[in-house]
Amino acid sequence: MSLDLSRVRFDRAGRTIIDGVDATLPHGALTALIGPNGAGKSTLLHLIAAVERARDGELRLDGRSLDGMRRRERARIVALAEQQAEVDGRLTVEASVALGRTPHLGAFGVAGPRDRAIIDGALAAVGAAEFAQRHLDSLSGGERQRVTLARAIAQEPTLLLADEPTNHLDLGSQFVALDLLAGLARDGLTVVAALHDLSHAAAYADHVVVLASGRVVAAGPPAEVLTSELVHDVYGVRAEVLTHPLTGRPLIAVASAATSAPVPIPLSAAAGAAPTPHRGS
Amino acid sequence: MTAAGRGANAATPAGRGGAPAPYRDPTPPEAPAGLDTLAALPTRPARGGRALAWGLLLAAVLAASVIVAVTIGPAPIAPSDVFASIAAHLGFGEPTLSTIRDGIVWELRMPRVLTAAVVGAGLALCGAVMQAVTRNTLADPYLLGLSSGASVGAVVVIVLGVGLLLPLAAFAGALAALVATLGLAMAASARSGRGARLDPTTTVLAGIAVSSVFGAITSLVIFWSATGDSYREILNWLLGSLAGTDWGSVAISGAALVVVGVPLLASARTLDAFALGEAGAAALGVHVARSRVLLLGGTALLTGALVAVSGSIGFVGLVLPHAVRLVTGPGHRALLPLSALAGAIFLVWADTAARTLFDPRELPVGIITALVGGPVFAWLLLRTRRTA
Repeated sequence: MSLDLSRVRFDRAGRTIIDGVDATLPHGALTALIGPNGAGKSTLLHLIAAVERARDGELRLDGRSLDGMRRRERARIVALAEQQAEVDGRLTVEASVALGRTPHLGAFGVAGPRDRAIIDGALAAVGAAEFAQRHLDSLSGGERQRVTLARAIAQEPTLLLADEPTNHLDLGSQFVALDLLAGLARDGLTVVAALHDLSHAAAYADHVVVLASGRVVAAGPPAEVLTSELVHDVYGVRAEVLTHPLTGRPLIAVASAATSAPVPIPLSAAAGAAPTPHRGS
Repeated sequence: MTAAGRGANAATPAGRGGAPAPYRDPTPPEAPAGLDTLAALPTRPARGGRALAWGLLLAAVLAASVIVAVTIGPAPIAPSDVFASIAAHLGFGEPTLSTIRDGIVWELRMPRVLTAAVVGAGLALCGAVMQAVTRNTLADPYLLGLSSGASVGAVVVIVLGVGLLLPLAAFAGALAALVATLGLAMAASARSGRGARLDPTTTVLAGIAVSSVFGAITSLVIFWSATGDSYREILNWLLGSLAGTDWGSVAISGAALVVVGVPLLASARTLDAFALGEAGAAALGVHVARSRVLLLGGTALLTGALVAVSGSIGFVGLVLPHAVRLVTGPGHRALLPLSALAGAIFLVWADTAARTLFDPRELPVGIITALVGGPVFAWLLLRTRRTA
């Protein structure tokens, strides 16, 4: 029981973003997808969620090919919770979460009592029931993140993908979001979260997949994968991996930028990150 | 170190859930409840009730508006005359009206009022769909240049004298204008370094550029070829007018409204999903690229047929969906049909005002819709600027 990626490749504008990824993401577990900016974390989640199509390779969930499925069928199995600045802020929280039922309703299907119960359950699960009638643009970042997760929960997926679920959240909200994801994994979902904070990955993940330049460079339990060598090689910083005094989990203590030369950034990536005129906000 | 880490993991029976427990202390006040609360929650009554009530109300108002609008005009006609004429023409009972009065009701006013209703409904529907697909609150067939493009197609065909192709040519014109506007807006957005995301204001500016060019072409073609009152002709196409509409106009616009409108109404869920942005909609199983082409192509087709009978009438597609949204919220299952009904009512009355206010001279109906819609547009623009 797992999500299996084999030889997944993806190009955008002539540049290889995902370069032959092989990975097995275990069922009923929280997998952390980590790696530096531009490693391909978001793109990989998009490929799994059918937002974009892989050029090559295969995605199998419990042995069943995801690529052979119709879009709607696939959306009943795979949910994507994104950092969505793009969402129309005029929606109410409840309406936004109700959109998670879209793949379960046909064009003329009316949301029935079961759908409503699922929507209410998802709102309650993330603690958003009390602000269900508020508009999205009146919410804080943490509240919005919880609404995004509620929509994914309302989709009743077996595979839930979360793209940087702790981004822009304060410390408390970060752990609320991670606790939620861990709880969903405990309930039997396959949860994959792209994370920036290695300590989050170390504290919460059952499984870690490390991505760099579109390739998997390490995968396994956090205690095995998150070593000071790996952190140095992938992120170019000097780090010591300690044992967390409270949880016994790995704790990554970063000292400074690396003393030795950091991992060279591929030229193409550097070109892509060329300074763009930035409007002051 | 590795072994120690794993050992600690293994020693925590609750696994990952138990391990980070100290982080959760103190427990945040809004700590999430479990999924097991699902069964305990009461279910609300269905919420479609309010929208349905509004729909019935607006449908009744529309029917009454059509009857009353037919009675208004230089020749006095009573509502009972309208019913009598309708009954006679539908084959119920003998004709009781004089031929002249029946002609006024059935040949002059009824087709015009019905065309106004169909055009208003279609424009409002197109506006609501375009606003969702382009994720732009300022989108409508007029502002994005579709109406002007359709006018060019229609006028060229009329000048060439191949009337049968009229709706088709108007569709081609609308489509050309749509592609030009979105292409221009995308190029401008890409240059400003914001990627391919379409900024609402840029899109409207592109639409203004495209519609001025197409409007000028329309004027040129008419000026070049017209034999009689070319200025009035030009004004009617640029500002929109329902003068001289007949049952053929009702047939063209009505057929387009049914053929295009029904699939658009059936796309409500897809349009709802567009509120999440491209990736969000795709993750809900929406084929974003295909839906966008089909939906915008549909609005171009419908706009073409509407403009072929009425010229380019502005602001109906922009304003009515916004007004309806204030009542129903952004859900398209209610928004689309209610916008269509509201648009029909609005244009029936706007056209009644256009043909009677300065009787015997007739105002292009677009002047009335712009008088009402312009200030609303300004208000929307200010609001968009602030939140963009």
